[in-house]
Amino acid sequence: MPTAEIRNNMQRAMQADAAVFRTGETLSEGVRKIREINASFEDVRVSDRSMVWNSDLVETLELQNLLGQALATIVSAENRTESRGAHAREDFPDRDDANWQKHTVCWVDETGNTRIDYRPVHMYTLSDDVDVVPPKPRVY
Amino acid sequence: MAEFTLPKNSKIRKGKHFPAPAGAKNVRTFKVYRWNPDDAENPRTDTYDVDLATCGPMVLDALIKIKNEIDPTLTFRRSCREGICGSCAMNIDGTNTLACTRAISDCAKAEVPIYPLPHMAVVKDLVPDMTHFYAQYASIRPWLRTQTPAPDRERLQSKEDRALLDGLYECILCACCSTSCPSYWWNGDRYLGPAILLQAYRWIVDSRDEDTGARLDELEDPFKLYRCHTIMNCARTCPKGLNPARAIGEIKQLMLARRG
Repeated sequence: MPTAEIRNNMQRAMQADAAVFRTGETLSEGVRKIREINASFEDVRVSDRSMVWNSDLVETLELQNLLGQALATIVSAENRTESRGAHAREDFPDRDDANWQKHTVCWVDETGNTRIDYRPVHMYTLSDDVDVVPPKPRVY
Repeated sequence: MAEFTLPKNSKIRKGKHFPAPAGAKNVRTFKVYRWNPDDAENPRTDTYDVDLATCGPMVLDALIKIKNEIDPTLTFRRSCREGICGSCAMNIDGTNTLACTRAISDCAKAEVPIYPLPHMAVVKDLVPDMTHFYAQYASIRPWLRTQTPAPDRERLQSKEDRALLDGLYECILCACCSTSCPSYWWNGDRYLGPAILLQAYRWIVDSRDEDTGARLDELEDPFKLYRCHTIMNCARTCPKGLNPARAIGEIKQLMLARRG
């Protein structure tokens, strides 16, 4: 498979299923698709064999990185059952500070398996001059 | 003795032909310069038939389509696809311009010829070596040079002073003008060329810059500035609609004025 075809599949899947406004349904569909597309990278074909300005090879390496990013993004988004900032879940429209005020950390291994863990959000500043600004709902 | 033909290993040969898929109705042909430094082959022009029904309107869209779907080895620079980065400057349909702002429908020839910027060393396919061009840009030290101590706030300009920069600040350094200039072709090693001189003038007329005298001194040279013979190819080709020749004319006038 040429690099451009895999990249186009990835772009379309992410655009369709992991846009700003998402639902659990589209996200789980997207996770399935992205896993499949990530697996198809196994059969990637680089046509340009030259050593100078090989943009075909560079784009393939970029794609490899992007696939990992896409996988981490969509798996973490499906996992986070709340809305926060640019992550707007239509099935969970409110922010849930009790359960989700934490960072998601996602590992993607070479075979495309993902593991999710969390890291606390710092509620302090590195200076005595300013106090931490606690989060509050955005109202317009 | 003068040599009127290209050296043997630079002659451009006819390359491969990539026909459009069967059933394509609206086909446009692109004849693209190809050269790979890795093999000992001569440069060639490959011919690509592109179905415009499934292609965007600009020449860059066609190039990207060729790279994505027909021939991934085709190599060219591109980035913003909206005429602000200057990466995709190349010679299209006989004119230096940006592939992203030139519509395919505006190209006159049936087989649209696409070549790298003229008279530049080619790195590969449509990618020219811009090292010298950038070195020339660095040589004019293109930043605000001042003697007075820095104020606590911004350096202000009147509306009239700011208006002097219109037609200059828009330059994106794509090098279309310099590489269309016959004078730059012959003396590109020492003549700065229209793009760099336009940039030099942009700093000379800036009301906030305090090094105007030194800037003019640096250009007082038979080659750097005075190789402009008002051929005007630069103004004709500029994809941003600027007029480097006018800027060069203004510098020459300033030179005369201070001689008294």
